[in-house]
Amino acid sequence: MKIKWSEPGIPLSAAIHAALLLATLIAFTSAPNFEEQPESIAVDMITTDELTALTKGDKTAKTVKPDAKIKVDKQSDQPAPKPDSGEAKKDIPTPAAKPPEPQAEPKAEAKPQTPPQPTPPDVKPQPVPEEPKPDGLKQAPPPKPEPPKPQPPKFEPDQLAKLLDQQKKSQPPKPSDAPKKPEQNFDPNALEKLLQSKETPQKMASTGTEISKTSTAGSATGTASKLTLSQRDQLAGLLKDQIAKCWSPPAWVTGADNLRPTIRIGLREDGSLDGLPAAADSSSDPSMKAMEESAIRAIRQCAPFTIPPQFKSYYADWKSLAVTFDMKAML
Amino acid sequence: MSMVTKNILKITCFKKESLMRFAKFVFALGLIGLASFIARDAHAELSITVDKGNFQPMPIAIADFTGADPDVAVQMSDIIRNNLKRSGVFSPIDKAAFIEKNINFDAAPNFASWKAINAQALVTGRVTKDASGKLKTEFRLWDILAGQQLTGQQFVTDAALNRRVSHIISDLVYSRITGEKGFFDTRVVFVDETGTKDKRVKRLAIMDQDGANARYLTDGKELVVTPRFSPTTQEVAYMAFGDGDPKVYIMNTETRQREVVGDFPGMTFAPRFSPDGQKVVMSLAKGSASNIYVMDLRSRSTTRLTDTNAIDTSPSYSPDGSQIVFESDRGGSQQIYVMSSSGGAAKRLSFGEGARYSTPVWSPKGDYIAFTRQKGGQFAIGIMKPDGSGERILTEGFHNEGPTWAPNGRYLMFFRDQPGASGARIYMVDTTGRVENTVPTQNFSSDPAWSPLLK
Repeated sequence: MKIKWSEPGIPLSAAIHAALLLATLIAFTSAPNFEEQPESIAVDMITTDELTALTKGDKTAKTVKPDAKIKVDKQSDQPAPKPDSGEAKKDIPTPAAKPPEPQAEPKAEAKPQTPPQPTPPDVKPQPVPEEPKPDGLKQAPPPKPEPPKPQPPKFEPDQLAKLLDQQKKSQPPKPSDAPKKPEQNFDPNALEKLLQSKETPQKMASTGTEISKTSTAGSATGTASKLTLSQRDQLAGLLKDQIAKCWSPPAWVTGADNLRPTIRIGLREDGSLDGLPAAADSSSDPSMKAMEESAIRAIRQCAPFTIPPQFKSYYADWKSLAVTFDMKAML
Repeated sequence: MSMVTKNILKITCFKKESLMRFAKFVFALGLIGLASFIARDAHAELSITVDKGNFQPMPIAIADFTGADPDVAVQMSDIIRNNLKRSGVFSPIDKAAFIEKNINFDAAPNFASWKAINAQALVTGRVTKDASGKLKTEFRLWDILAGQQLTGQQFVTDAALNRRVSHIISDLVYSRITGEKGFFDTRVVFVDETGTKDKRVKRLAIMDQDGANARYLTDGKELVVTPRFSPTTQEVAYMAFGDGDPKVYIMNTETRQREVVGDFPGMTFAPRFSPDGQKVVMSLAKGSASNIYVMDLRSRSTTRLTDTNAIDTSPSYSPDGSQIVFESDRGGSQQIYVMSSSGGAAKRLSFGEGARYSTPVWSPKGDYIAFTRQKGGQFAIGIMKPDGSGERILTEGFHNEGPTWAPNGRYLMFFRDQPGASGARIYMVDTTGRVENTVPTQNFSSDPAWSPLLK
């Protein structure tokens, strides 16, 4: 294509576009980064049964604690798991003692290191090559020449030895425990065994943020409720069906779709009414009153209720009912 | 600061941030756990929501009233029994099933024996005459399941008013149970039709809402249609074809005096009273167009409310008097519109596909507008909310027309032609469409107009 200077449209346009593009590139070199993606957090889905099982008290427990904690056997997953609080201090020497263990929590060790080390957990493998420990575990791989490795000086045998001494001095009462526990915790064989074990655990561990090994009979003020949520649903459904058969909804009531009276009932163990059914908040509005009265008639008409035998032992769970009547779906 | 340190710092910050976020998350989880624990403890009570039911009228026992004149007393309890049954809310139990036969009005009934026949309520009564010949009627309504009296009253009236007292007692029972106002102590004006189809005699007649006490208001020399009751007085507005143009008249149902409404040059039709009874709104035909006018009954002044070339008719006031609903074919087909009661722009309410809507009537309660809907050759009576939503068809068939509201806004009367029949009959339906009854009339009948509660 030949450029006609008398008609400079195309070349001129091209030149201006190019200039604009260049200007844009210069002006916006420091475009803001995209937002960091939030870290995903793994969440376990559990059924209501499991939840109930997990949160209920233990029948074999001897004491009723006023402020019962949930029994928790397992700590919930956390990105930077802390060692068990009770054993943290004893664990300090472990990286030295068990260099092959890459999972060893080096976090605790960071304490004595005076220079500000912002990311000690990220550099797990570092201690290994420098370990001049008598264990002589030669984790052969020569240290990769990673530039930002300021650790080496901190793991000088002298310092470590000093540290160990300090530790020993500070914890003379339990000399035997100290070495034992770390061993158990970080025995790779045991770990492997655990991982490979196909045995079903005798008891599912309950998870929580804090470990609490004592099972309790619940709190003194707690309910003796043992119905699982699904059992509750089942019983509620059975009672609902019985009441619905007796209830003639007052379809004529003005604004019936917005009236939802709740009637409180006490039941005896045989399913008969204990006391008078009463509206939770008695109203003077004639329409609401008509709704409430129709609901109370239905309950009176239906009583005694049939409670299947499997629910009899959970009497505490159904001795009082709050029955809400809702016509909305029927109009 | 070197690039590397910068990066490290960045990472650190990010880590810190995510740790913070994680900590918040854990904290929130803990809160949720705590809350659900507290909730678990608080709800020792088992919560149930009953969202279905068994639409059954309430079984009620109406014991024969006792008294010196058993005929009158029994007749009164029969009227109450019939009323309550027709409401669809109650199902009166057959007297033969009663276990407790000799009821002492002054004592509580044997609740167990009434419960045994499934009665949920019981009405007892006593009718006596005092020294001056006045009728003294007492009644009680018992809640059998709760074992207590719900209401009880006595009335001293002229002996001739025993039927009205029965209706009043019916209203008291009905409203005590339903929470709604009664509607039994009312009358209905309608068009009585006799003679063959081509030589029809149409007379205005009035009866009690249960069909009793029917009597004529006009002699049948002129054709009458569309009677409408005043909501406040015992007056009826209607249209009659006399010698000249058909005109709207108002008649007092007690004195039978009547007068023409307004002095319009042309045909006036479709009258309806305002809620205060002081105005009549109606259509005036001029050429092929009809427009809506309102006349003040005291000042006799008239105001034009619509100005179209279409047919605007069947106006009906909202119970607060602020709006008027009417039918118009201004959009091409008959539909329902609503406008301010002083006229002005109208808003279309009905949008049923392929349907024509007519005879809108605003409920005295204000919560519904009743209408006739014509669709696919079928005529239906329906209701909709005043904003046009929630349309509900109550009955549909060969020919149903002319809905009129009971004063409590819970029932409608209308007239229905059965295919093959040579005349119409009046029916009653409730706003759920579940309850429907024939209103017994001696002859064919159409165009019912329900009165307000009598005073």
